[in-house]
Amino acid sequence: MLTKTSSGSELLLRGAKSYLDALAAIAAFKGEVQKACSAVYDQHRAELTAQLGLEDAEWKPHESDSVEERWAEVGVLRTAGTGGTFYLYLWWGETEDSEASITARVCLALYGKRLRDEIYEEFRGRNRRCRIETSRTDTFELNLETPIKPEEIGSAAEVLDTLMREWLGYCKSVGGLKLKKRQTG
Amino acid sequence: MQTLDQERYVATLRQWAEWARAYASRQTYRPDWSAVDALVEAARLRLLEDASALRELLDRSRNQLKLVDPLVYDLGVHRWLSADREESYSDWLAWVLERLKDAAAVLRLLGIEDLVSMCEGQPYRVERETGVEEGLPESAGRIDLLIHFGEPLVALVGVEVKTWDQSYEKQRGYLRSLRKYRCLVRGVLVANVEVSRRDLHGFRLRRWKEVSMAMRRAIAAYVRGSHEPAIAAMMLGFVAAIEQNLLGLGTTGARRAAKGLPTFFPQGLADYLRKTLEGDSC
Repeated sequence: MLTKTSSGSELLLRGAKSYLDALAAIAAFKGEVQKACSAVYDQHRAELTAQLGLEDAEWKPHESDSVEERWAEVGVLRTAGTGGTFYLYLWWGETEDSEASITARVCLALYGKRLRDEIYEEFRGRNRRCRIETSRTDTFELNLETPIKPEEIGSAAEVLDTLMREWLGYCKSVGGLKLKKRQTG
Repeated sequence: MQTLDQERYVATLRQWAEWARAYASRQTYRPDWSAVDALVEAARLRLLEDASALRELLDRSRNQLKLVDPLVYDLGVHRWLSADREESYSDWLAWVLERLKDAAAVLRLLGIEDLVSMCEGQPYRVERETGVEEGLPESAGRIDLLIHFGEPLVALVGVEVKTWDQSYEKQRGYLRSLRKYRCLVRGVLVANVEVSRRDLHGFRLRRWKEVSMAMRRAIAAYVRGSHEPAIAAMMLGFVAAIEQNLLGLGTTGARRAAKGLPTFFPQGLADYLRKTLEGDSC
């Protein structure tokens, strides 16, 4: 016997009937999100490559989540030099009041605090109203994000595009990030 | 022999069969969200049951502490007590030990049960960064915490606090320095990793998980005997930092369970709370 509770039995019964369909629906949903993110990435790929100061790279799917902590990320990524990664994704989570929260995010994760802080100071120095933030946790990230209401998820592609343009604008204002040069220099 | 009408019917059927072959495969896949809805609803009931069990533990904890359980608040991002700030952990541990004002509780928290009967009811004081004759070979050292029990001195307990650093060689010198005093001497290494007997250099290993569980019990006793909820709340803030930053216990499950929301949480979380409430060691 797999479970002793009635709610456990009900879950097994329903799951047995619908598990594969549910998995397929979720895979299709992730596919749609990745399609929106990759379209924005492809549209700005050449300029992004130039502004990051790296070699051209195709996008790869990005997925990360924690069911226990109730957050998930779905989108695309590309490598950004030694140990670094550039991400464009949608983030799902919830506030401390347990309200659902969706955010479109551009994230540059770097391999060290020094480089992260150096770039952050440059952004701030050139743009007083720069919206880029460093991560609150111990990862070395630069994040630019815009919240999306669940009922406005249909406009996610436009939000991602605007976000990417804003990110590129900040990069241009500091003359590009020159990541390859900084990492080898 | 087929009639003319029959031939027309057959031709029509053939035409439909061709169209089916040509277009059926081009149908777009439409995700079946009803399957997800069915699962979500069935899981909701199951997760509500789990949440209710966790909520019961949180309520019991609240009754003991007279404050909301610290696992309900997200303190994991508080920079003051991020895992790499080892000195902050030493400062806070020293402050909590001093504030408990109970020698037996301090010794139990550090896992030194063998000194409890001798030191119970005795005055004690906690020093930070006390200079000692020996640390690393051929150099003096500073021990993270040094606790003096009794007046005149009955026992000395040296405490080394580790949150990420894993160098232990100074402990041998610390213990040698402390043994020059005419009293009982113990050394405790508070760490989050397994440390071999050889690397302990005579210290006893006390894991952060054991410290936080014992600290919760000590704070509950403190609350029963005093009327200083602000001090108890600050002590629990330190417990939260240990649990969230060093032990990796998330707060989402507890927060949702406290609100009666369906939630998925690791079994380890409920076990941790249950053992703490029931006085088991880990």
